[in-house]
Amino acid sequence: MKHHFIDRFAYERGFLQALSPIIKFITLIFFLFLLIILSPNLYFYFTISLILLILLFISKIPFFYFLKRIILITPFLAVIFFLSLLSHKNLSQFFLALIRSVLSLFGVILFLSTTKTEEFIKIFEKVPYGNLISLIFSFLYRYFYILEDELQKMKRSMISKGKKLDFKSYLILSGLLFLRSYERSERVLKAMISKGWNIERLK
Amino acid sequence: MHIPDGFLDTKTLFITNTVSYLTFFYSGRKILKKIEAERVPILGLSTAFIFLISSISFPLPFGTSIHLLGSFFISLILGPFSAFFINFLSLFLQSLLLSHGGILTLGANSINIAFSSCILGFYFYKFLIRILPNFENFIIFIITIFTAFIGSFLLTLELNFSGKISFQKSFLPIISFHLVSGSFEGLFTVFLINFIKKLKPKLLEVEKI
Repeated sequence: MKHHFIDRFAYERGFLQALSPIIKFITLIFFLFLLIILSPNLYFYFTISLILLILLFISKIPFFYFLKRIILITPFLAVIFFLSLLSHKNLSQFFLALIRSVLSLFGVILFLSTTKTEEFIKIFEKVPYGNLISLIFSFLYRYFYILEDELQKMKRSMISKGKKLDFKSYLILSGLLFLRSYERSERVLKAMISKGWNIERLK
Repeated sequence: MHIPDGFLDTKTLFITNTVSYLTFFYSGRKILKKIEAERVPILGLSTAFIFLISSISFPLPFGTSIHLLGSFFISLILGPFSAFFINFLSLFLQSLLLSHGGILTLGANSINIAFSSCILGFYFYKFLIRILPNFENFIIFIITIFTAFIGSFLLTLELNFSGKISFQKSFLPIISFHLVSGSFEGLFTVFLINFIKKLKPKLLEVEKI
């Protein structure tokens, strides 16, 4: 089954790909804070957008991919736009927040698409409960695509039996998926222990 | 509804992130105190499960769509603090990978979604099931809707504090939308708990942390 792995541009030879993941992550958090703390200024936003576009270009991330990711926040923006209109709030407030939001997402896209998943997971080994957090992240990365494949297989099997994919069939699929996840967890534990994994590593 | 970065002001971000991160670290401490080897893969795979569930959207009338959360369901299986912990991590990854929410608004989103469903929901369930032990399905359904109500109330409050919307004029539309999605979530939780009871009742005996 074909998956669109999130780090597929991290293997390109670009500017951001060459930087340390921790430095990129700290810069991203600093950048997000800066956008919130500084008073709104269109010239500042314009300069930041230009810098981000240059970074996108020199890191070899296609502009179309960036646009596709930005579109994902439009449902929330549409709801807030509607509620701002309803509240008779000054719409300039909404548009400034929208610019901040798009720029923040731009930063996140640049960080995430230029960082390999294993490097991303390693960042969290240094925070409190880091061993537990990075273990959960690595489970998620390893099994998300496997569970997604299982879900697609079950969906296809349902369709081939002439069943309609409605909310009820979604409930059945979710139940089966959860049980399969649980059964898989028993096998995963045995495999981990056989490779020398020990619970004390988490503490 | 997940709030993206840029929509909350500094004071709201400070309050929500403080509460949320303190709960997260408290949950981490509770989990590590009692953790056994068997629990580790369940935590990991449950995170993958709720992440997958929340990445699937259902179309609703008028061009809107909803996605399920699975937060209250996971708290009934693993316990309130384990559920909060993995929900927090799942929300963090959702903000990065699916653009559902933001990094700085993670505190607000995890209070609206994970804190209300996993912790408040779980303790309300414990309280009500003691009074009405024969109405489990009804209690689960009602609590899921109730947590959706609490979540949408907090969401409106946070956006109102940040000066983006008016509480009085926005509360009704926000709550109506969340009650619809809460009802679907309620049906989902009731169905899954009964499904597990029938096919793998052992799963409901996992220690609740």
